[in-house]
Amino acid sequence: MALDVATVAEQMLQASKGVFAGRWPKVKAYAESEFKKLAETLAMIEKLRLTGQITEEEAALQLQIQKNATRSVLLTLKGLGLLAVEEAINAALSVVKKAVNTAVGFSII
Amino acid sequence: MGAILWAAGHQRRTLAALWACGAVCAACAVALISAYDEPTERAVTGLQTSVDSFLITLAREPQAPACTYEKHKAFYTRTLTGVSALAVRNRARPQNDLTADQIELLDSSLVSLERYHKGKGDAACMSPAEIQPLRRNFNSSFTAILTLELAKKRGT
Repeated sequence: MALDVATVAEQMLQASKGVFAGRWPKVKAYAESEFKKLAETLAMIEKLRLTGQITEEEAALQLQIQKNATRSVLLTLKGLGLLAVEEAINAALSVVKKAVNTAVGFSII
Repeated sequence: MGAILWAAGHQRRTLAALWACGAVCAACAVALISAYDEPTERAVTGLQTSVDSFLITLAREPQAPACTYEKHKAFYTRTLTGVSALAVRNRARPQNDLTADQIELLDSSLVSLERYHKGKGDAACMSPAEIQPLRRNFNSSFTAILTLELAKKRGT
C-alpha cells in the first residue's frame, strides 16, 4: 500500500496538537500561580523598604533572592515547554512508524 | 538478462534503504531534556524542609542571641555543602542544564541569605515580616526545581 503523504502529515499535526493541548492547562496553572506569588512577594519587599523596616542593602539582598526565584520559575517553564515539544515530536514519529509499517505490510519500524 | 539483474539490484538497494530507515527510526525516540532523577528529588525535598524549618524557627524566636548568625553558622555550612553536592551531581547529568542552572540560583540565594543574616550583627534579629518574603521566595525556588524534575517522569 502506498504511503499517503498528505494523510500522514495531517495525522502527525493532529498528534502534536493533542500533546500541546493536553499539557498547556497544567503549565498555565503553574505559571499563573507562581507569577501571582512572586508579584505579592515583591510588594512585601517594597513595603518593608518603604516603611524603613529594612535597609537599602537588605532590600537589595531580598531582591536578589526574589530575582533568583523568578529565574528558576522561568527555567521550569522552559523545561516544561521542551518536554511538550519532545512529546509532540515522539507522537508525530509514532504516526510515521504506524504509516510506514502499514505501507510495507510488516513491522519494519 | 541485464535488465533482470538491474531490477534485482535495485530491489536489494530499496530493501536495504528501508531497513536502514527502520533501524534509525526505531532508535529515535527523541529526548530533549534529561531523565528523571530520584536522588535529586529526595535531596531537593530534604533541602526545602531544612531551609523552611530554619526560617520558621528564626521567625518564631526573634530574640538575640538565639537568632544571631553566629548561633546558626553551622546551618549555612551544612546547607551550602548539600547544595554543592547537588550541583555537582546535576552538572554531570546529560541534557540537564536547566536543573543545574536552577541549583546554581539556589546556591546564590543561600549565599545572599547568609549575608543578610550576618549583616544583622550580634544584637538584632530578622523580624517575622522580613522572613515572610524569604520563605516565599525559597519555596518558589524549591517548587520550581521539583516541578521540573517530576515532569521528567515521562508517560505519567
